[in-house]
Amino acid sequence: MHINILEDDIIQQQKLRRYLIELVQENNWSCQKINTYSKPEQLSQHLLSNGTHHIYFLDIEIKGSDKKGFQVAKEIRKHDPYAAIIFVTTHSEFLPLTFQYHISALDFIDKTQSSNDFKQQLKECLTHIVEKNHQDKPLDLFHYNTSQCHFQIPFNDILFFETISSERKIALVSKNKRIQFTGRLQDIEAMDDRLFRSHRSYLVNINKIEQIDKVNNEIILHNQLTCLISRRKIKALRNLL
Amino acid sequence: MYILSITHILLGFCSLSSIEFIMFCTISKTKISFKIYLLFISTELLTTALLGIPARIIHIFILMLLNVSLNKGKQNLNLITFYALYTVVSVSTFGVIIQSLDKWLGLSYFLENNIIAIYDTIITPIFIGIVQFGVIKLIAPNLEIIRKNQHLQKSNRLKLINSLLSISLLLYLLTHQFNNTSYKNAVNMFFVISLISLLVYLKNTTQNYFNFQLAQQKQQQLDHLTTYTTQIEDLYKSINGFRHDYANLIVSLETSIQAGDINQIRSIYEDVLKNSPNVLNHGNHTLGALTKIDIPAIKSVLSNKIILALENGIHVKFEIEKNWSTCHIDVFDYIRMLGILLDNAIEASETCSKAFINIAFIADNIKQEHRLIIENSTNQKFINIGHIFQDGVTSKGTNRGIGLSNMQHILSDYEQARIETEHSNYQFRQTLITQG
Repeated sequence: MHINILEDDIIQQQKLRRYLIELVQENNWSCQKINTYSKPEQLSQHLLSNGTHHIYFLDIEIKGSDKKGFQVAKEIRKHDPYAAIIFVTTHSEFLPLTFQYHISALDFIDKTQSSNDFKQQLKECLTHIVEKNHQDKPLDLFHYNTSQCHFQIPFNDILFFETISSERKIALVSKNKRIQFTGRLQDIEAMDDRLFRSHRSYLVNINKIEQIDKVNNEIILHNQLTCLISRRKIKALRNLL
Repeated sequence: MYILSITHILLGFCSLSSIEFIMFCTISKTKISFKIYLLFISTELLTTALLGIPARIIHIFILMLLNVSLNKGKQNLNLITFYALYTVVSVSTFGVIIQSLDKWLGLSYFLENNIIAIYDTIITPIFIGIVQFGVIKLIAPNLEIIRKNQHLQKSNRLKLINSLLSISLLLYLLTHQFNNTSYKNAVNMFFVISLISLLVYLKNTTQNYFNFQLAQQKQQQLDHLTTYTTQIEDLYKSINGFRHDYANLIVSLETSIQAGDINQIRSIYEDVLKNSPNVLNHGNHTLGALTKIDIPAIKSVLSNKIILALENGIHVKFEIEKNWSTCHIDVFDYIRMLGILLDNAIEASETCSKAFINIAFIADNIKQEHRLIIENSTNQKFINIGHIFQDGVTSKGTNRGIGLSNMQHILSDYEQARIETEHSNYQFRQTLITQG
């Protein structure tokens, strides 16, 4: 794991570097190298030879360069999908939701906050990254790709799919997310064996079923969420479980 | 000869039924499979064979039942009644008018009997089809207004139209009890006049209602934008004030530096400059980002709700990177959804100790879609996100559920718009995605 810093102000750059070295030593983290760059071009040159799973601290506004931190981050994402990208910048340049969407930026650190807060936030960021790298095992992802919409979600999070009204619209309900898209239930049913068509308008993840309520013809899932089951499907589902 | 006339009757009947069926699907915007179509025609045939003309009343109920079961009862009862009544009454009326035409034109004098049969079974349905198509084309925008407007659906105007249609139907059924031709002709004339006036009334009321609403919306938009301008002016004043202070500070700093008084410099820095981010990052600055919205209606709703949230002590952030110049769907539908989402966000977050709402507009050029993210703090540890969009689902007695089910109705009109919902760590997030 390398740490890379992009910051045009030498004083800020060295300050950040010093804090990082301190934190790495204090917590015994395995960090091989801390590279500092003051120009985006320098960083871009090193990207190819660098490998993956690195940490990047980027400033957004960089003097004397057309390339902003944002473009650099996009480049990094292209080469290293597992990189942790953190922006170190002034408050007025914060666009957390936008950056999270475009480049999955991990966090924003405000340059102008006090040294203690600054260091504390740095520590939280690094702890998060180290913990995540430890439990980094390949996820069983469910991919959905059409011209209209594409998303991926860990299969284990999926609770059920349901049709909405009479249109060709479907809602995917997961542990803490609901996604709407256009499609047909039977197409999705064919995508994975673990999905069971319990009702005309419901497709349920059989791994997530906690209980079958035979009185109300309902399946009870995680967090007391429910979906319908038709009477004649109950036996088939019992056999599957 | 007997078989021929039976086929004639069957053919004529089926084509009339089909016209009825197609009309009903078009005006109520219901998609129906071929199986149900066959089922519908056979029930119509059966009931008519058994009961004769009074079966029309049963047909109305069949159509209503179809609508309720296929749209899962999502349409208003008045509206459902209107669709069914209008379909049956107009097909019958046009049928009567066109069939009586042959008598007026004196066709029966110089045409042979079986040609008249052809006129009754083939030409009549085709005529009715053409006339109906024209009429629906003419009133389509009005039907759209009624379909989208729940106030109008519940209003007395629609009830009045419904009762007039029912009376027409009853009269139509009564005429068949009499055999007097001149009386029949008079009633037919009455039908023509009443149906035309009914259509004119329908067109007028809905148009007036729509214009009234449009004017109201425009006025509201103007009001919001006026408030927005005032806020921006205040903001400008406060920044101007800060600039003035800042210039003074630089001067005093300069003197202190020249005098080499490090204590003085330190105190100026500690006292004033360190607090400057507070002034510059004040909540009102959120409004500044709204300048990147090029759609006045959206700007007005967003500014109004953001000001409302700020007044309620909610910390609001608005992110926008590129200019927002299109919303891919009807602007009024968009701002209705925007209003629902923002109202919910304000309502849910205002009771939190650290209340915040984050709004972001993200344009994704690769996927060619716009994302509007609205994120808010919430006190609720658990929200049943699988159910909040359903009709009548509310949380804590608020009208959140009603709002979201309305939203679902609006979304079902568009293929290119959808919503994603997320809830975790006392944060609730809605993402409205539009493509185009």
